[in-house]
Amino acid sequence: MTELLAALIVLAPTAAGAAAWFADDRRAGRLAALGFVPALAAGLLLATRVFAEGPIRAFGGLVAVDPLGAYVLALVLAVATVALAGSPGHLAHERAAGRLRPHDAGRYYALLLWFATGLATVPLLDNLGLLWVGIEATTIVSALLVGFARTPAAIEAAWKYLILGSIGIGFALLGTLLLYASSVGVLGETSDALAWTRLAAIAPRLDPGLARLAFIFALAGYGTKAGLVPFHFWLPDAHSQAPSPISALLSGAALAVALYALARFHLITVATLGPAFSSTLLVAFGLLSLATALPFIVAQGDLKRLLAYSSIEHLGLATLALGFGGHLALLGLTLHLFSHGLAKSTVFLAAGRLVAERGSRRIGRLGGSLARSPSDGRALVVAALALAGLPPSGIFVAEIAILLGGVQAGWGLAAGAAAAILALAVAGLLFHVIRVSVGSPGRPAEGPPASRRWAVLLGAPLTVVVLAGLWTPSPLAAALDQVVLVLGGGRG
Amino acid sequence: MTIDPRAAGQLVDACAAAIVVLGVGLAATRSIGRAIWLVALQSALTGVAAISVGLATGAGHLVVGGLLAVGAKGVVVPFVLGSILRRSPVRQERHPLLGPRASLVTAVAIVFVASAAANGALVGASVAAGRSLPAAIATVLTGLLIIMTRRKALSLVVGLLAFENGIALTAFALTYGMPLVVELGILFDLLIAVVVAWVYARRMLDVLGSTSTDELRSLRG
Repeated sequence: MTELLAALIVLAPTAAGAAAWFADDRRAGRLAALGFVPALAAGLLLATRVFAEGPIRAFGGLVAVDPLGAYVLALVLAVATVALAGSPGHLAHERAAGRLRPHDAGRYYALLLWFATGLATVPLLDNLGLLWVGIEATTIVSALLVGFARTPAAIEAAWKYLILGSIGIGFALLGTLLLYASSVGVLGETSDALAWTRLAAIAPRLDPGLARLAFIFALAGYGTKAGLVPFHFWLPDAHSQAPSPISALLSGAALAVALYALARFHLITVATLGPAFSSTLLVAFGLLSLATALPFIVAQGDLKRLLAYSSIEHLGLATLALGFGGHLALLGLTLHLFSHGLAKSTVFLAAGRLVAERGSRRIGRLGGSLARSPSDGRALVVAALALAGLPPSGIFVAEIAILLGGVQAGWGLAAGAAAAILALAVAGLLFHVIRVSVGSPGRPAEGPPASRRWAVLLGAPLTVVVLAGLWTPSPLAAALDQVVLVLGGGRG
Repeated sequence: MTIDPRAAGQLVDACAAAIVVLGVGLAATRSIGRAIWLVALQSALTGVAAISVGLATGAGHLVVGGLLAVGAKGVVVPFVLGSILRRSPVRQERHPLLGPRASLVTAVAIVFVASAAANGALVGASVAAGRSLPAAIATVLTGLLIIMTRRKALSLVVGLLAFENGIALTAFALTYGMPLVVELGILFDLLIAVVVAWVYARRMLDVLGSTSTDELRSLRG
């Protein structure tokens, strides 16, 4: 049964993607949905089983899912659902504007499915080498999506993403290699020597020098993929130039998956060297990312770049939470990544439509959006307020938990600095939100008006984000507690 | 078929030395066509080193991985890159940030620093690190040097391949390579990365009329 579910998650959308690649443009969307829905159902079923019955293994140890893996899997599938559901609207707009070539829609759906499948496969694998292969594969596939528009700016963004991403991920491979070298002495030369389930158990016997070096390289490598400063230079370009549903997947899910890889290295490093070494590095890079993103958020003139820098800010906060450790901060982290994933993916869809309608990405030229495109404008305002960390939203609760947890864990100074930065970012975001939402709407909208389905698509994830700030159903709270237990170094 | 372990050891040392020399040559050449074939030869030699150790120790996965590496990185990749070069009007790295002579001196300096660093870093480490570790570190750094100082899209891909060869050699020096399934995955990723680079180099030619990354300077802030 477990085998069947895992196989469905990987194979159904992969095959549907291949079919969509060759299908004609009108059928591609339906084919994509046909492949994705079974994967979504199987993924949610698998995650539920893990939370109900404990960690599972399949395919002779190739696949292992603990509560942390199940959580990341559910997050990826949720964000992918938003991205996929937002794609027909995006493509319709591109077609109306004459920017779509024959076969573009089929290829778009194929690449989107393969990208999402890669992201969903990573948390299933019990092998840090294959985990690297998976993340690198998603980088390459998504590079094709980032430059999908074929404008000079999109090509520039995709090229930077491909080259900087490959260098970064090369460092992650070196880190993986060093960890393998530190464990073959204990486990022998088998692929078990890269299994995180085994590594966690034998961590105290790993070579400390090699483990330390391994974490540094993994931090640089997966830190590049997670958009941590100073490895972030590709991110604002890639996330702002990609088609909006792809930006949603990049910001909402791909960054979280990179952080997941980093968390696996962090857990092993903590078990080998004690918490001080890797936690300090994570806190330092988290704070640096928060501080660097702030001026770019406040002084930003481009709506999609604003959202990209907001992602750097939020991933900095998540990295900080991982470094803080302790029950409260880690609980905040789990709530934060999920709320951020949903809010950011939705806001990218709304912003993408606004930008396409107005033909400009400049915040100064997008005034009056609430009056002109009510469903997009409203979604943008709600999501931006949530992303700013205002109540009621899951992000607000998460931020409070992370900061208090930091103080509890003895990181008072770092938590204080983070609180100050977050407060300033609220002011910056509010200023931009006001400029976009009110003001003169200018000429009437171009392109098809927003349908009721589109309004539901934007409203549903945001409702979840807001509700998460008010109330967590007890089964969900129990599930999050299991994730926290794993992140805290327990066996789940 | 097996070979004598001592002969295999000498062969690996020779390969490592040749890989370093090819890396220095890569840093010093301006011709993009020559760089493509130098890096292909370098890639093939990492495969040959793996094959010879595999034959000496009877480790079948090293032989398989080595053969695939020779085929993929030594033959397929240079043909893909060569096909872009034939369409491109630019065959030379005209204005690199570091000229050929300065690059040559830097690359040689890297080799010396890498030997010193490798001997220092592994004192006290539990693994019996191979003698090829200095060569591996030197190759990684030379690859980064090329990526940082060149401006043509193809030169960047060549630098990336040299960087990747350095990582492959590191894997080999530290642990005699990763498990086969991981090696296969890495090779597969590398191949599709080169194909995607090919796609974008073609788009750059179509849309921007050149493969110089100097044209890619519009996204800021």
